[in-house]
Order: sequence, then C-alpha cells, then structure tokens
Amino acid sequence: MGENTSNLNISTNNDCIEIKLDPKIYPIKVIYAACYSLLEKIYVHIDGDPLSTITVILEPKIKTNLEELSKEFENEIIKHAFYNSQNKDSTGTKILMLKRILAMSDTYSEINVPEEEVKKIQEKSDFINNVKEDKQSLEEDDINDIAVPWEEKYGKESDNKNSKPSEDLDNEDFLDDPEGIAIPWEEKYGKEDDKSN
Amino acid sequence: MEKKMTKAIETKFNKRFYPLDIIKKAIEDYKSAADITLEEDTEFIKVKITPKEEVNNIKGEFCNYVLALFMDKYKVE
Repeated sequence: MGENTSNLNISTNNDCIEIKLDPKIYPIKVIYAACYSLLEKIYVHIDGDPLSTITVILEPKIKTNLEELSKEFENEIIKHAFYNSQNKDSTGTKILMLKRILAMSDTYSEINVPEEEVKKIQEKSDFINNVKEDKQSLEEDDINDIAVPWEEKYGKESDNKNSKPSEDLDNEDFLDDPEGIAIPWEEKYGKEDDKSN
Repeated sequence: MEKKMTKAIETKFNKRFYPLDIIKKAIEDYKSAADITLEEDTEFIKVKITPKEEVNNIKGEFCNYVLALFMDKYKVE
C-alpha cells in the first residue's frame, strides 16, 4: 500500500509507517524535532541518506489508524519547519538586540560590534562628557554662588520648619531697615485681641 | 502495539543520524534492563539487545531513548 502526498511518501507495512522525506524541503533538524514531539505516541527510527532521501519509520505504541498518524506526523513536520524558518528570519534581529545590549555595557570593545553602532555610542558619551565639563566650568566661574542650589546653600525646608522665621534671621539683616518695615505687624503693634481688651 | 520479548533483537542505527557516543550512553543506561552488544561498520552501528525480563517492545523503546538522548545533548529545536 502506498500513497504519494507531495513530498511525503507514505507506505504502511506491518503496523508501521515508512515516510520518505526530501531533506531539501524538510531539513534534518526539523525531522528530528517532529519525531521527538511524537515520542509518547510512537516508536521512531530514522534511516536513509541525509543528502537525498530521509526515511522515517513510525510504529504506534497502541493500535491506531495509521493514515491519521501519518497525517499527524506531517502536521508536526510542517509546524516545526515553520518554527524553524521563523527562527531563521528573526536570528538577525536577535543578534542585533544582543549586540546593542552588550554594547551598552563596558565590554563592548571586546565584541565585534558594527562601526556605526560604536560611533553612535561614542557620540552619546562625548555629549554627556561635554555637558559635565560645561557644568564644572560654570561652577568655577560662579563667584556669587548663583548656581549653588538653594538647599545646599540654606539647608532643606524641613530643617527650618521647627524654628520660628524671626529666629532664623540675624539682627544684621535688619540693619538696613530703619523704619522697621521687616518687623512683623503683631510684634510692632501687638495682637488684635490685646487692643480690644 | 504490545510486543513482549525476551529473545535477542537486532537493530541497526545509521551513523549519519545517530552518533556513536549517544548509542554507547544509551547502552550504558540500559544495562539493568538488557544485555546489549554493539558492532560497528562503516555505515551502521549494529546493536543486539537481549532483555533480562519480558518487556514491551524493547527495540522501539531503545530507539526512542537514543533519539531523546540525542535531542537532549545537541539541543535540536
């Protein structure tokens, strides 16, 4: 008994199926993977020539319809062939992503990263260094401490919350205030309640 | 299909599909279940399996085991 289904040549003999496959269409690794995925249902033996025709002998572990089994095997092969081709297509992207990740780390010089990528990374790091240098030169030229952050200069706001504002100010601050403009109203004229009494 | 067997069974593995080291490892692992001898020629590795007890299709099981070992070692996807 024999059937010809495109590249699958199926012949059933002695409760087992012999499938002949063209390795140009179904690579050997795809055939291995398809056999492996059906190991729970069948006994598998692979023979033939990996360059011209690969013969796969399938024997079901329990009595089953051999034609259905051969179709299931064909589906498995196509599934793995598709997965294999997808895997091949995305290999370039995967390598590129991996190189980018590695290039961001310190070890990028030891890895064969494309020159364009290295140039881009160097430009980025040059830009960051320039910004740092500009900041340093600004700090050196800042005699009046204008560029010093408020919190560095006067401490955090939370530190001053417990102390009264009038206590924070030195008397020297009031030297230029002969009319007492900076003195709080209540200190100068007393509280409104005291007046009413 | 159940095939209980205690008699010696012969099977041959094509060297282009089954590496020798994998078959040797499988023989080592099957020591407790069967006495297995190995013969080698240019193209095939001939294996003679004599099960110690009645076992269902030991030849098929051994072939599957070799394939599983191969897949495990070479990580074929």
